[in-house]
Amino acid sequence: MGENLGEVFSQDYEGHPLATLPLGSRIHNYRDIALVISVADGSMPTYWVEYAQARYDVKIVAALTAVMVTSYIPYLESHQLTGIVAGLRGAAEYEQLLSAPGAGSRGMDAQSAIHALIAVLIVAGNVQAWRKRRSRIGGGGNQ
Amino acid sequence: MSLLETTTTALLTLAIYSFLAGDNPFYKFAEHLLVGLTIGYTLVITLKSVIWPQAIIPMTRGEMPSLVPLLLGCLILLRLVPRWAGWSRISLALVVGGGAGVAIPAMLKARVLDQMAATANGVTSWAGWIILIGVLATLTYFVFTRAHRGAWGTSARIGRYFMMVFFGATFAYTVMSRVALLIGRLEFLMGDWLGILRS
Repeated sequence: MGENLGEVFSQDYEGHPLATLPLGSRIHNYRDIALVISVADGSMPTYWVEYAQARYDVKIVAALTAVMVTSYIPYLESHQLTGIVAGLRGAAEYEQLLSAPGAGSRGMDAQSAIHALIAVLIVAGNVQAWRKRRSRIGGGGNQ
Repeated sequence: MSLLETTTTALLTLAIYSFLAGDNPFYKFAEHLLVGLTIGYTLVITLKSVIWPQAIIPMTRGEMPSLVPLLLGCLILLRLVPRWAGWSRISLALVVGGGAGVAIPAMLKARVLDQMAATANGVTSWAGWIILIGVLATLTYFVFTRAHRGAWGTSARIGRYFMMVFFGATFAYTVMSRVALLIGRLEFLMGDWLGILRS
């Protein structure tokens, strides 16, 4: 693909030859691509980094689900990724950047409320565990 | 989406969520439907976009080299016949050898060399120093051939703290991800299906 896209994908899904497509006639390999935006819920951005960025220096931006974000931050820090849209929060930030609030910004209200609830539950759970341990020590138990 | 599509999707969503009340036939039906559809879809896409245009069509034009990958693919299926299962090793060896040849240099550069260079070059700022200390401390934690005592033990303990921060951040992002999925489903059920929510 780095040398000639047409050798790997000679036609699109519907059988049209690549050269007859508006984009296909202008883009022959990675050198013709200014930016790749990988919208992914799997490891696809890793493949883009390994095969397109590392070998051909193509700029990659990844729109990720939140669970993937911490695995991709090192690539962002090392400039192997040009940018990251980090889950729902990233989607909301992008909407704010465009001054076009939508589903992402709307979802962040619920997201923030649930995060606050989870934080309260974590604190409550730890307080309860601490009290249990304290009462056990106070009762003379050592197990 | 039509009303029929929306209702079918909503009922399947509810069937999946019914697992919260325990395993049940509705959940099993939705689960099996998902697996079956995924396999069927993948099979059709592979046949239509790979096997047909890249193997069958060239063969009809007399391009016999395209028979080679087709035969190698068929050899893998021989694993299903215990007597001839050994033949599948030829294809697997080619897949593993070719895959390793393509992947190892790319992975080595992207995941090791470029990351090492970025870590070393980042020491011009405080954040860069913290990353460097974190990397070195975490690496010492994974050296199990040396006792974690003294300075080495302190470094390993610092590495453990760095990993705890990473796991905490990953857990928080995982929660965010799962909640986002729930929000999406609730928006669909209460908006698209029931019409209670308006966008």
